[in-house]
Amino acid sequence: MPGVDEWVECPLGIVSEIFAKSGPSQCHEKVTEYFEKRLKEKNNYSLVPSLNNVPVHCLKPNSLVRFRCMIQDMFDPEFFLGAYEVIDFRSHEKKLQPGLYKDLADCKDTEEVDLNSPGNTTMDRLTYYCVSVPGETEWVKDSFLTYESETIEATTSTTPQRQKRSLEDETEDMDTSCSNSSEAETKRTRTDAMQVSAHSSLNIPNLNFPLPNSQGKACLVKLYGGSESLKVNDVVEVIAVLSVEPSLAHVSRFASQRNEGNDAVSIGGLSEFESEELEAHNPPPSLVPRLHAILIKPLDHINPKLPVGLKSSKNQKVIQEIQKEAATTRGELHTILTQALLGDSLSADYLLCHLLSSVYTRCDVMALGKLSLNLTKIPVLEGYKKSLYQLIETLVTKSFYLPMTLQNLNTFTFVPKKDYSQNRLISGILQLSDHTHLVIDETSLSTGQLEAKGVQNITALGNLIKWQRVDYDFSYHKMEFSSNVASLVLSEGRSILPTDIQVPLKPLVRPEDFDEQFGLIKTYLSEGLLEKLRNYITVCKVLEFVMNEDIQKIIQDDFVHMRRENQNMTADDLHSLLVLARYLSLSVGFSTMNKESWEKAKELEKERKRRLQ
Amino acid sequence: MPTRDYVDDKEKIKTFLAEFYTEGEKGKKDFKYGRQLIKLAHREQVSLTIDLDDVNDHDPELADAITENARRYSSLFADAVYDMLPDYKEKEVIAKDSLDVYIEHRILMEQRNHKPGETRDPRNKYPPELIRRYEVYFKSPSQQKHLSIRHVKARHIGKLVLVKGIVTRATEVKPVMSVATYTCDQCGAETYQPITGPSFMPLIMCPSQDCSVNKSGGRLYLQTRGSKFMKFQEVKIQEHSDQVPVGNIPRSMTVYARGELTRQVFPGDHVSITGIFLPMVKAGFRQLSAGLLSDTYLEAHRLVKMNKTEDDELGGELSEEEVKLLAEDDFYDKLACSIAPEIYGHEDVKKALLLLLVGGVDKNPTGMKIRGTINICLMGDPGVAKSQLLSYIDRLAPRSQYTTGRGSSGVGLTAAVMKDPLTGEMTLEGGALVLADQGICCIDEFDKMLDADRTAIHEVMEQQTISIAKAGIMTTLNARVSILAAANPAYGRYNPKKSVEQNIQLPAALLSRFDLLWLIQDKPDRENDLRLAQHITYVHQHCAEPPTQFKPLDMKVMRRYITLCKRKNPVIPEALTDYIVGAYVELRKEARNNKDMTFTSARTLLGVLRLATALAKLRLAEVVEKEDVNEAMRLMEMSKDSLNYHRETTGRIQTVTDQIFAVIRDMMSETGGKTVKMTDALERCTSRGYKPDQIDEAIEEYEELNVWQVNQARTKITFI
Repeated sequence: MPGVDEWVECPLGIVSEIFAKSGPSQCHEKVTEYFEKRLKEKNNYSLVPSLNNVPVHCLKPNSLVRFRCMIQDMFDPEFFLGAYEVIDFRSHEKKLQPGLYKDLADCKDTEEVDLNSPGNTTMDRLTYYCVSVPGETEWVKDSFLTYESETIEATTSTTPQRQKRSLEDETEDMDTSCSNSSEAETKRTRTDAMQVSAHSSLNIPNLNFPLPNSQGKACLVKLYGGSESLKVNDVVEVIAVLSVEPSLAHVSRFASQRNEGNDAVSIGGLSEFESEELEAHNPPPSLVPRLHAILIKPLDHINPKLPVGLKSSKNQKVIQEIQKEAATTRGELHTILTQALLGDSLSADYLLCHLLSSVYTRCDVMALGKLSLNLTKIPVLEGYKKSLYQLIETLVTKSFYLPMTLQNLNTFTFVPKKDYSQNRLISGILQLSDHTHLVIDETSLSTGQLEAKGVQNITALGNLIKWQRVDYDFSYHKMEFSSNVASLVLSEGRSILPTDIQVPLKPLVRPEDFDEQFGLIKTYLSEGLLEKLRNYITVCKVLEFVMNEDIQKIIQDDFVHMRRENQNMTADDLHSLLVLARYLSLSVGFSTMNKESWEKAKELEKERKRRLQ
Repeated sequence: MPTRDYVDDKEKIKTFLAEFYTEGEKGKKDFKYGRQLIKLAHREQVSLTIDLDDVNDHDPELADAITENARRYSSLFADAVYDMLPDYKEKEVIAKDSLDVYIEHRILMEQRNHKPGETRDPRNKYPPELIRRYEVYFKSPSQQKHLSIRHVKARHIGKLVLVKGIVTRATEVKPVMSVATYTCDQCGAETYQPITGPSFMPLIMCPSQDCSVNKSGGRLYLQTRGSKFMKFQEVKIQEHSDQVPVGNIPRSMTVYARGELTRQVFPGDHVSITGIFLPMVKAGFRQLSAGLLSDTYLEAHRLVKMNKTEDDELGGELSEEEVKLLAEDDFYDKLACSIAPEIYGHEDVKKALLLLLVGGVDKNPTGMKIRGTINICLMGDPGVAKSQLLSYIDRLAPRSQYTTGRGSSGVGLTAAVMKDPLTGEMTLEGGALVLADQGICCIDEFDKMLDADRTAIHEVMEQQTISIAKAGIMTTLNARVSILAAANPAYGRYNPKKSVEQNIQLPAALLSRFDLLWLIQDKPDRENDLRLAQHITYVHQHCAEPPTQFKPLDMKVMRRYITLCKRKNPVIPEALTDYIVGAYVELRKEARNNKDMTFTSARTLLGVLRLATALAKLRLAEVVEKEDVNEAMRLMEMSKDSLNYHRETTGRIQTVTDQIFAVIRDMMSETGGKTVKMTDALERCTSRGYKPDQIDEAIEEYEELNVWQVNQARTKITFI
């Protein structure tokens, strides 16, 4: 099937054809249409190699690729020739060419671009700087990898392709093996409290990953068609034409040389700060490949086992299936969490709700649905926190473990900051995509001097937990970016961070025996169960929820009653109660609030308050 | 679009420049551009700004053409002016700089070399760019809307656009060569090369007739003295934060400013720029490597620094519909409720805050300055949304600063004298209060501030100035600022048994400077609680604010309305003075009678006046009415009530025994001793309306508690 190959291997040929038919203004729409149709065909989707799994040097330039990433920064739009004319030296023949989806004009040796031709059309495109999804857990990566290699092997048919694929498979295998070792390594470095700053080598430009010590890829995605619905920190999948034109690297090198004076005499003054900016915006394509997006779609979750767009009607069935089993799944999860929390069932209830929590709406400044949890009286055993985090990591799709040591607070950049000399947003730890689980380890905090940066970092962390927003630093002003990050704080005493709910751990098992507990969990967690739990958590986060009139009435009366009995009951308490009840209902598969959940929430709160005294 | 006849257009431009006039006073014709041309001819003016409004009046078609193809018309205008200037020259021009002299010399030389009878313009050998000592700029039509940088697209290339933004970077002003002059080492002839791009290829071989005929191979050398340089500055602007869609990164744009437009703006300024959006001309290797891309920049034609908010608000007057909405009966309540709609209740506090936003009227009767700004202090138990109110006001107010007491020092609030690290000069750096001049300064956690720092605010709150006498700098800075402070009670919760000063531990001198003190409390109350619960459940259910009788007004509408109000200057009519005086006397008497928690002083009267004028402003009225005064008094009263009310509620909670104990304890502190006579105690208590058996019971109870002892004869109470 040569036709199948062509659209993956040489999409620009198809673009040229479409361009010739529809002209420059309609071109992008038609191209999008065409590729959308192509991708819908059976198995075609998996034919497109994913940049997440395959190293750039294994991919053919100008072929179609996929990339799962988070938008880290948005650069200024670029103006380019959407259509340009080339003239043949010899025959003086003129030809109109599309300038979409490519960086350089492609002309033959005998041709030259006519920059003054009236047929040229200038168009604009957006440039987004995208990085691999920060905090993506290992199992997500692994299962995308295995899932893909399986399907690729099943569908490849022609020999040349086979060769190429097998090559890829090899590299993939290599990748998996080394990722395993590097996994262990990253684990170690993480738990070694990430003392060292991430960027050691000076020659490699800062790829701007939000999280320190993270490995991943960065891309410059060029967006056509002027759609501006995407936001910073959105997770998207791009289907794009890969461009690794090596000559692009010269742009930056040339820019730095230019000031020293080349063939032409620069008359000074002009674009003095451009060189620095150019360098930042034009990293070598081998490190940061350019992707010319044909299709870009936002991902509501990155669970590889679930279809994208969970809320759409065609996926209703999947959700219903999971909802049906919710009660039993919840039971399983609860048992596991209880075990992990050393037999503390109450804390397990809260942790379960916390894992399902997600901001579902914003009401002015308030973020509703967040349920930040502070587990206090955590046994001060290094291994325990690690094991607990590892358990959470195996359940959720995105997570990050942040040891709150003084050094980390004082040295790390938490809040993204705009660097005007490079004209880019320097990322910080708190630039996280939605549904990321942040585990903050406050037990590692020691006494000592907190510097100005540390204070800012703590404030930022507090803002994130309390308002679910991060104020990015644009030096002349701050810009609010909403986030949706569930944060779990582990501490010995009450946390200095403003969490919604504080639960002191009350172990029934000797904390020293935690290894045994986690050993049990490990044996219990079969692949099937894990998948069930993961899907359950992912689905619960996006489920719709309603509260009926009658239950509202009950709640209102209850609140008045509670206020009368206890003066310290505030509006915030009611918020937490409602959120808690919401997740208790959702966790057993109900999408409406019922009385049992409300009662249970009250009970839990009562029990928790008693513990706090 | 048919191509325009540029020769024809040039003629049109000439007539426009020569003939355009505005009707001045007494029907006198004011030849706006003619006048300026004379000045240009005499080197008294450098830049000529063409207002497109004027062009539009003269020839609408031409105006459109200019916006479409601004670069071309810019040079057409320059050419036209060049042609016209000699006619406008009325007297000999005094050379202003060396280039003037240089040009004069060249022209003289040229004249000498040619016979006088020759009809030849003596200047024509020189490039016009060299001789032109003026700059032509366009000003976009006044009704044109500002584009945000985001909306400047490919189709705007080559057109005149009007954008606004904030300056993020500005380079040093540098000379940029616009005409290079060379001399030949063989024949001495001068050669000129006009430069348009960012770089140029220097000429090497002499093109003059002598050299080319003799083939002497004369080399050219660049002459700095004879070349023309222009001031040049590169500026980066970035979108305003309000123009950026939620979750997007602000975009930026490069602006080139030349000549007179340099040094107009500094980083941090809000600017509006008229300019031509152009692709960058690239040469040589860059052109090849950059491929299809072209960088763009905005060639500035007009740079205006603006006050971010003022321009925003004045940009659009309230629409008919909005005015109608505001003109409804309960607009006062509506406006008040629109303040921090997410915070439930506290209508009176919100009303007070609304008045704070509007402010009273400043008066300067014979040198004495009476401030018009209203200061408010919010007190209350932790967690009653004080900070939310503050931050809402901070967001709503066009000009405001938000600080917390813990994070501010007196210097940080007022002004600091700094030593510039580069020049070693002393400079003044304005603190929060100075920066909030004519605005609002919100200070959270007011009580946490150090006393020494707080005293710095005293001056600001009454005199509205800040005096600096430090390091050889003596000056007074304006700080016409309304202070909105929030304070927590000293011991966590408000203690009703103590006075205001004790409760927030602020000196009376400072407290009296606040026009209104509000105590916001969180009291259980069935009706309120139910409404609160309904509110919260509704929010959780519908992900939105509950539909109340009204929709909270949009922040922008509020802001515009408040600016509108601020422009009014209502006066208090003669007839009302008596009423106000009467009311004040009444207040004083009342204050004397029941030992008040607050003070009633002359400042209170001023406060009432301020509130009343603010209310009148809010109605967009010119005269204060009786209702305004009444409402002002009511707010004053309510604020006092909020402080005193608590006493009653705790009174209910306190048992009779406790109250009797308090009475006796008070007697103790009055006498100063440790004993109280039983008879006195009984008398005092009965006079307060307690029954004798209650009193006995109380005395016994406290005796059992070992608080005091009663002697055997039961005549004396002694405290332990």
